[in-house]
Amino acid sequence: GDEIRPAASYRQFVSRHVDQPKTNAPNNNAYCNRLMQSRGLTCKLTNTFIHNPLNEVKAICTHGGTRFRNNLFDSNRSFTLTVCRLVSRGRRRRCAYRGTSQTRRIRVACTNQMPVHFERIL
Amino acid sequence: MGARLIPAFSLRSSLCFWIRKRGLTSTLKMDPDVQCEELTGSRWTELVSSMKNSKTIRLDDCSLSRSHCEDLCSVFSTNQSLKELKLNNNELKDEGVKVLCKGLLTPSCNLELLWLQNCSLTGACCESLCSVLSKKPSLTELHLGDNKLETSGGKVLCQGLLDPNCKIRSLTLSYCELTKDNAELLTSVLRTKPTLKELNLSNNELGDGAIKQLCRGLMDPNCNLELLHLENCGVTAESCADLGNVLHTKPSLIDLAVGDNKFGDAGLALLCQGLLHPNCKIQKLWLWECGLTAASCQDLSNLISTKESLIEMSLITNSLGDAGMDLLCQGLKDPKCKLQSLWLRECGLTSACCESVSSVLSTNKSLKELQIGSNKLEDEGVKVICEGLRQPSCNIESIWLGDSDATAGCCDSIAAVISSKPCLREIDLSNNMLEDEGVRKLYEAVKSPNCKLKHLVLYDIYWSSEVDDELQALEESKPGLKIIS
Repeated sequence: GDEIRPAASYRQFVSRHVDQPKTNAPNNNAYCNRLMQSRGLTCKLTNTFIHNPLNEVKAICTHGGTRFRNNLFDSNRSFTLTVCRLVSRGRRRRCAYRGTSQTRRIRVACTNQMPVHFERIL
Repeated sequence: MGARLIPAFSLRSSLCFWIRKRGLTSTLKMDPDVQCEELTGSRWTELVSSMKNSKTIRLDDCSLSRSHCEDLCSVFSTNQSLKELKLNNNELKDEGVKVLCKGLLTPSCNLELLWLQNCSLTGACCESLCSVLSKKPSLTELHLGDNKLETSGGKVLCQGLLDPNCKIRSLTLSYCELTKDNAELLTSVLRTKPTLKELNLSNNELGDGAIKQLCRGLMDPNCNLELLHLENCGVTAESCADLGNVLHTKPSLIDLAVGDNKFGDAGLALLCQGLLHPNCKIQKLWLWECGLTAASCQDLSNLISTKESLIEMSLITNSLGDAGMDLLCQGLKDPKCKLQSLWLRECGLTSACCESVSSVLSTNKSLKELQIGSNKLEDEGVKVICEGLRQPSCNIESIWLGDSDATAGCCDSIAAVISSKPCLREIDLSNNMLEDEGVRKLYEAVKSPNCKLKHLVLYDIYWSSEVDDELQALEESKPGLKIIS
């Protein structure tokens, strides 16, 4: 099939979706409020953070994943995730998030055997 | 995609990002506004010296500790104009805050706002906070969320709040591990503190008994509360009647957030008895994830069509379904409906309700923001909604259609909205498989002189580097437009 050519960089993927070890926070909501801000994602509707080592995430693009279609790969293993969802948006872009922990397989897009786009949780 | 909007990696191991622009201006301005920056040696010294005349200081997530607090105290003793101090997400710990409080007690300090969210605090620092509350009537806003103050800490804090000297206006104690045993003193605070306007107790295991007790405080003639947040506090249908009573006796209460409590349709019916009362002047009602179904939608529809004060409502993550949505739409079509912002994400909607939504959009003139993504609208549903959005009477400024199972197949319709509605300021199409074909259609529409979009939000959409270059050029050629991805 046609290779979808990625514009997203690996570095951006990591900045947006990988947090390992998981940043300290007293609870998942506080975690999300902190991370969405610190990663420059304030008021984004939803975002998933992966807490596994980078080599395990990168492996999805090689031996650790199965091609779904084009350059989208499904991970063979489950990952430790925190999913952040926007629940309120206050004045001056003060956005509040809810976080939930999940252990699930994920689908990412790869280019040059590097993950560059987070597609979805499976 | 979007690398141009995301600041570069910082050297911090925590992968924290410093918004570069903000950082640069903060060194020039007198009011430091810094986030996610390791403040070491000379940079910190420079910042502290710039604080001499600051009115506000924000140092969020800057790895501050006790020693930084000592330096801040020197600012308190010389700077009488300092009004706001925000130190969220720093591990100040009890020792750090004790130092801070000692500084805040200096007679020259007139601080009004103190935010210490997620600073690794426990009940052990509450004595110090208590003395600031009782000795500093200037302090009107205190944010202590995400700190494990626990029952004992909460009680000590209340002693300060109860002091006649304390003139607190806004208090946030979300996720402080408070319990039902804190209800008694909090109730006394409600009864004796007419200055208190905003109280956020969300995410504490209070339970119905404590909520009932708090409601008795809320009913007190002395209580003038305007904002009450009780999300995830264990509110069930049992205490909803009490909250309903508060709503109809207290027209001052205009902002109620009770999301993430599973009181269900039975609870909502009781709440609505208060909400529908003419005395109730509610403006903002947050009811996300409350276990509501289509059975609540007649009540909600009545509320929407009769309560002219109501301007913002969230119903996200309730299984309203298409049948429920049809009922809501009847209320939304009423000319008395003044709702401006409606959040309906994750409500189990499909394309089947989109005709109703579309007819609302073509008749309702007040609605400014509609979040209806994260529902299986699919191309068919999005197309129908776009028909409504194009009508001349529709004044929507912000439409969120992210995660709707939409594809390039509905982008002609979205493009027609973008190029024909100058009132549209923000459109969110994130998490849809639009691909190059769809994004190119949006891109062409945005070029139209009729398009006055400020935010085109396209998170988690995948497109080629060619399209990326085109988008970048578009953003540069269209001042005022920000493509967020």
